[in-house]
Amino acid sequence: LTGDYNPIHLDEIVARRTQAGAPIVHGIHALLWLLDVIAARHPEIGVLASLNVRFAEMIYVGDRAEAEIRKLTADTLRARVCADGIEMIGLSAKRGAVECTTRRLAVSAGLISRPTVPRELALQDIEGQSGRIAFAAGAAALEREFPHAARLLGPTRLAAIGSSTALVGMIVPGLHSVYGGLELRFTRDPDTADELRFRVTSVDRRFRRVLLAVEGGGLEGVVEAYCRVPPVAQPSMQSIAPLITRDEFKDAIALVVGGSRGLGEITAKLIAAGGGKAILTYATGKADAERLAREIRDWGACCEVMAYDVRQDAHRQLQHLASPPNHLYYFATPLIVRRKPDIFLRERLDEFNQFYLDGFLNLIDAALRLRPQGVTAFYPSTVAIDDRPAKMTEYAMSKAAGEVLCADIARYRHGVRIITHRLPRVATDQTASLIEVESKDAMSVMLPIVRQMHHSAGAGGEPATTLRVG
Amino acid sequence: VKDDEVLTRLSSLIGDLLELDDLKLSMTTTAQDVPGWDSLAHVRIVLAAEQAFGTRFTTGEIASLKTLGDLVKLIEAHSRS
Repeated sequence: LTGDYNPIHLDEIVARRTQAGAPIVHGIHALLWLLDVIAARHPEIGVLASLNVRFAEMIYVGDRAEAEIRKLTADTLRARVCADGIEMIGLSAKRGAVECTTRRLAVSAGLISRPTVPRELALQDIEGQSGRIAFAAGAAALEREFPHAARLLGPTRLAAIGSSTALVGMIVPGLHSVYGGLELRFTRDPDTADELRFRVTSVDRRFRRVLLAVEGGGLEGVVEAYCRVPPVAQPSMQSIAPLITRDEFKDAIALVVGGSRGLGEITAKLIAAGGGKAILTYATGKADAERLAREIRDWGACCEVMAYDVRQDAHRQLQHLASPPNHLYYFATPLIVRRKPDIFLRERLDEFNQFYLDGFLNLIDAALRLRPQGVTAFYPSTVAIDDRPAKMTEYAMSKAAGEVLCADIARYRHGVRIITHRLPRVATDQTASLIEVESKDAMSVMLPIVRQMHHSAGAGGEPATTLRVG
Repeated sequence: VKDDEVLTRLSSLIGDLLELDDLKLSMTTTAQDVPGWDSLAHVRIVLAAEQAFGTRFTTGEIASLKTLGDLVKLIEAHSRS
């Protein structure tokens, strides 16, 4: 309807590699729904002269959203969309006569007509962009979907507002975008071109923030967007190889659970570059895992790929492995940072525990059945146990419990060695943010650990479990 | 510019941006203490503070902000330079 086919909304696999972590609802869709609810509840509301909207949090597909009118006076309207009691979208509007006339932006001449693939612009390429984007759907189509909002603003203005998400998600910033908000004034001169004209007026590289002047369809104003950090690329086999002796890990048959990206990806590459065999597992990122395996094999090393779900029976999934693994690296995780309405959510803790406790113990037991003489495992804990960042209570709790579990596995399961480190914030998809935050690179974190795993497996007299804090 | 003067102006500015009435903020307030102070709100607050106090912070200065007091001190330092 709006022409925004950005995969963050539509593709589960692509969305998992963004800051969202899962497909999100178009903010503009939720806004149009909010306007429709407002107009349906208050048919007397009359005309709006301006509209300010702030997209505060991402609404996930499947969330239950609620519309709330917070203030309605003779000249002001304030409303919001909430989920879990948290504000997702904030709206404020001025009621009254529409008085502005369109100023006519100077834009490049070409009309961009219904693109189907988002443009991929680097931040430095965004400055100076301008153009015209055709409405993806006519005013009549928007009016059918949001009849009350159409009565409130006029169907053409709805089409223009709808097209602004295609502008952000498909054109500028395009593929790696987040829609931040908009400030609109409605105009009274006839504008029947069925297009939105735009010009980038500001790019603040510190925040990756882009402001676009927009006009068309009976409105003008400013759209605020952010340029997301693209998925974090880990070093290539070529760049890793010189750091490792060719046969350094030749005895390792390493099962890397959650090996399709991030820390798992770099671990698999290190082991393969050192002459070991890496068996990558993926839960949903099949294409990422296969791409990584191809890179490792093309370089001349050994790598296998398999589907593995830590929430399912581990032995049944691993029993057909040609070579039982002697090293286990456990990077399986649900999405770590998510919004929540209170300090502690029992179901969030249960979900983390399923991954960080049950899944890990099941894997250890299944690996021991395949290789009774013993296995060495790496369990990534976290400095969040000490640092306690916001919204990560359950995560820190579960990882702390994981450390206890590791110690007891080593006590009660003969032949198991476990290395646990409280890892710092590492630059991966899960930690990407708009504001630059100090992060360690995955390579410098994982190389000493892979070496420690190798030495520990070969040294009979070392303690069965080690924990390094910080 | 004095600390308390900066804090008062910032409190008013943050209250307006987050649409929170009677917001009581102190030098030790963090984003986690204030409803709606998420990452996008943080960007808007920093930009509004820059505009209100006529200055511009570096990426490193912004990344080092942990408390509202850090922002107050930063504004004060910029006003002296």
